[in-house]
Amino acid sequence: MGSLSRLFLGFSLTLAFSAAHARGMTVEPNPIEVGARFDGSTVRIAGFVDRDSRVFVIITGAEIEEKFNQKGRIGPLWANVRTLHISGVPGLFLTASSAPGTEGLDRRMIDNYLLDLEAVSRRAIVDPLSSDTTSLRRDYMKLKQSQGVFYAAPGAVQTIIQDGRVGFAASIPWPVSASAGVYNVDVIQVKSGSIWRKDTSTLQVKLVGLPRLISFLAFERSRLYGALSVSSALFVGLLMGLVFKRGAGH
Amino acid sequence: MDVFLPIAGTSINLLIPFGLGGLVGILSGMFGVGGGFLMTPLLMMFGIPPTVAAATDSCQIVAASASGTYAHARMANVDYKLGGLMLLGGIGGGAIGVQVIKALRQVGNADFLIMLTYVIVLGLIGAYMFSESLAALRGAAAKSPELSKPARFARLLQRLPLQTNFPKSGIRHSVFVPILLCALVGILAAIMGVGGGFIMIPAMVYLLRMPMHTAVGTDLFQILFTASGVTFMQASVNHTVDFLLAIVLALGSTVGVQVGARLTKRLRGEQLRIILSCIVLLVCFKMLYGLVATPTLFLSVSTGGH
Repeated sequence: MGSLSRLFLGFSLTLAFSAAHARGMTVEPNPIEVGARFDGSTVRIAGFVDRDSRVFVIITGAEIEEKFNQKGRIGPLWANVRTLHISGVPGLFLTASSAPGTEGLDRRMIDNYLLDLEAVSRRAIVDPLSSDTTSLRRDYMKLKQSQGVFYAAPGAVQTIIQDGRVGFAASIPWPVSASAGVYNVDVIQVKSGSIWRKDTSTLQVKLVGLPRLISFLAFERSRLYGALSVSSALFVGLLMGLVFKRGAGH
Repeated sequence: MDVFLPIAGTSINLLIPFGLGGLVGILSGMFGVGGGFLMTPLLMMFGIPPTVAAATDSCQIVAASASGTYAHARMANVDYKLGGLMLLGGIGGGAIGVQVIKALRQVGNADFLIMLTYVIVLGLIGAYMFSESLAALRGAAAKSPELSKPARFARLLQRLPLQTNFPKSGIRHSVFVPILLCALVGILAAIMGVGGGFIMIPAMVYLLRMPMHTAVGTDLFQILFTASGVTFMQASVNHTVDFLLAIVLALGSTVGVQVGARLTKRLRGEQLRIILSCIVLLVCFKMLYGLVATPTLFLSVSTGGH
């Protein structure tokens, strides 16, 4: 482990012990404030675990249902051939685990506790069902990973023994595309091939400043927002027309 | 200079939408097209969700067309009488087109039919414009289409009732001609999910026999109203207009549209037509490639509309 990692882990553990000993973990920053200059963040989760346990840190959003177009061949051409719905999966799934991850663990347990990306994929309900559901699930996972809302980092949870206790820390990149709301943070310990302990906390993401104002207008005062959008665009257009008129010396 | 866009749910460097707006604005100012065919996929390339990209684009089209209409009005390139009739037809056609697309979706394979129609229409228009303007540039055709001998179809149009003069464009047509023409383009535009400038400009030049510069100015005038209506609906009903992104795009596009409007003065009608035909053909080939090439992912986020 590098000196920087040790420093981070030590700092995180100090915070964990002093701030949230009762819950067994700290989640920082919490809340994540999404302002005008927000460009993603890093969530740091730290705490203490039992000796010899594998640690899984999992952040999940509420379950969602999404609508997709499926491409297929029509003669020599590719086109959208049908619309399908995918549900039963969290809108966000970020996980980090201590080595060796899920290796050697029972698949049913992994699926029940959503310990890896494959478990999320297996939980996806594709409607309508078809013979190519497996490849559709694979594409769905690729799409979500490219958006940054599905992420897995096996081996990224670091552990250290401090004062006879085992501390852990994980840094998980928080995607800019994650919406405001409350997310679950689970720290699951696996010992001797079975679930030993599960601690749960929450992570809040909230809009602040200009994004908050715009979001409020767009969703709570939508007619005003529509009028504001059109009138602002007209104003900008005519203003620039006038500026150019003067610039051209007319 | 990254800024978080709350409706798009992503952050972007402000110089990117400003540059994109400028590029599309030049096309708008030169050719009277809204630029939706170009802007929406470009925004998607930079991580803006498809629904937000399409709706926000309509907002920047309001700014670009306001600026473009203003610039062309100063150069006496806007035929308000004709533009008003076109607007009437375009709104009616758009409403019919939305119903047509609903019916097509119920039949199935609607998206495939839309793409195929798009490719065929763009290919035909692009090829015709290219060959005609190339011939004009080479001097084989001494007259521009607006001055050349009217075709059989144009003579047929002259027999329709309620013939009226459009002095600004220097043409005489039945009031039904611009209304029906724009209704037809409105239907096609609604089916294809674009503003229709690519079809409208060639139709105004080749069918109505308007001068190219007046066609551009008049088309921008009617786009201003249709884009305003679409923006209001997208913002108030679908909540998909990203205000911050739209304003930055608008700032870029309004600068671009002024540059484009000045460029049109330096180019002859046939030069403008051949450039536009090349862009139309490029878009056509790009769409054809999209139909033929094997996709990397077989799933795409549904925009809910088109």
